Amino acid sequence: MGVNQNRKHRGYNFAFLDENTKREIRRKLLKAVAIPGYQVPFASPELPIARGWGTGGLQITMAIIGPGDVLKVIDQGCDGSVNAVNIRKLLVKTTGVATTFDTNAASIIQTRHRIPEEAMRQDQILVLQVPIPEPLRYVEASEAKTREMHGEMDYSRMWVYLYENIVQYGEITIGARYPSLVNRRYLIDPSPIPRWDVPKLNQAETLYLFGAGREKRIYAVPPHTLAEPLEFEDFRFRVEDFTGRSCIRCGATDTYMNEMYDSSSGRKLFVCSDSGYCDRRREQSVTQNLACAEPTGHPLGRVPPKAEALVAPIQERSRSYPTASKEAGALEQVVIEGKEAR
Amino acid sequence: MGTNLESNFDQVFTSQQIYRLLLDAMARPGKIVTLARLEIDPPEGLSWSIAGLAFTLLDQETTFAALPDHESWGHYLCLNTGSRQAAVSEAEFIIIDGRVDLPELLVVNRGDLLFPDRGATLMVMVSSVGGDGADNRLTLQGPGIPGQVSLTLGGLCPGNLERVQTLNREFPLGVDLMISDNRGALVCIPRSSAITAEVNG
Repeated sequence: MGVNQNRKHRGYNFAFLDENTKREIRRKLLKAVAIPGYQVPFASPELPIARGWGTGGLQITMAIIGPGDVLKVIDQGCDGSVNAVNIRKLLVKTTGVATTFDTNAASIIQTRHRIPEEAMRQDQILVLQVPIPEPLRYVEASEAKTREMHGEMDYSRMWVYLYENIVQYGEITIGARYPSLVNRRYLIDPSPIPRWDVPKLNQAETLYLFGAGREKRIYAVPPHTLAEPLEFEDFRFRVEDFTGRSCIRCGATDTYMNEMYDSSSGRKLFVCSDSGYCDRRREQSVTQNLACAEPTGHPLGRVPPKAEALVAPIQERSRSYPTASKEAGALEQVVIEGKEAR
Repeated sequence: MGTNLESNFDQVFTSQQIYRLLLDAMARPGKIVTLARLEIDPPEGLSWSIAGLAFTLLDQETTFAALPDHESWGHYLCLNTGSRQAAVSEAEFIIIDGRVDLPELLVVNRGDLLFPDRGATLMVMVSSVGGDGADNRLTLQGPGIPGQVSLTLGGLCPGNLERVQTLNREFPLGVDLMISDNRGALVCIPRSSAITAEVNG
């Protein structure tokens, strides 16, 4: 199942980092798990990928990965986009581990800004890349102050911020990065995952590890832990609404979707953000269709990739995406960045 | 015996394997994981499993203390990890024989509200983790545990357990426990777990 399995780069230590660096990250990870939601400072040395491009998540993955792991890397839900490809290549080159696009087959999933649609198991670990680990940065610029606020569990200014949002706009304007309270103690920034994914943190089977390389912070949400998005009794947290919309590739109506604009027809199209899940659904639907009829009625007018495509080399695979996928990526970026604007 | 440099411990792959078990155990308090037997020769009284944990986490950037104070343990761990010995109140890692009554435990560093992660990690040796015939029956509750979980430990001095409960009274301040026996069974109790000791009946 592996792409580039057993191809090891000989000039570096296993998983690139030297053992001292790994040990430091490992010690900090254990403290992060023991104090759910607390941001543990760590050294975050230089890597061959610039800070702000997933180095926090990358260092966590490097510190925990072993030769027997099966790795999946996603960027905004997609296995084929540039950040995921770069990080996967670096990890494969320095560890030789097997990789997969299938959420169920992976033992470690490193992700940027999404949690896979399929429920993850207890033998899996999700590593999230975090740009801004501090949820209180919305209301307080000083790191010394926010640390004090966390120490005293003083989140009043965050509550006021949310309240003022509702008064001003009739809605809490935070889309991605929705502040959530872990274990009824620490407020976390769950990284820029959409609101859609926030409930997946609560009482999960899986261990979630968060790494912010530029900001040098590690935190964690252990399995079976309360992770509650901030909400008011009379103004409840809600997720994105995709009512009446379905994915043009797989027909799903129950996933987080990206919006695309078809310039030839002027229509808005929607496509699953989780490409691995979307591909799996397409395969299942083609198997069913073959049993009764030819799959000519597929919205894209072509047969979805075969099962082998799941583990096909990355270059091959990205070609099998719909032609509009580049625009989709660009659009998604705009939407997400817009939500993040402070 | 036990004062030599260990050449059999693979710093890269063995420590990674131990670490993943450790991470799993820390994320799921009360879950017992089993370390693969290590071919190392620690000094009298120090179990191979605790030595393995120390080799995995300690290095020259860390400090440790041994309780009760054994000169041979200190020498062995310094030599093999590069870690430095420190006073019990300052050390980041405390290597403990849990079967001995240790009043010194109460001075262990449990961090402060700004940096609770500075609270120490306790590596505790006991006679048995899990199984029947254990004299300590604990119930754990907290993050990582669906509902609650029972845990049996053999040979842990009740006084030490009470001291840990005292240290962990004010979450997020506290200490995190890694408890292991000489068969390699390992269980973790982070400070986020509420420990209830059941009376032995």
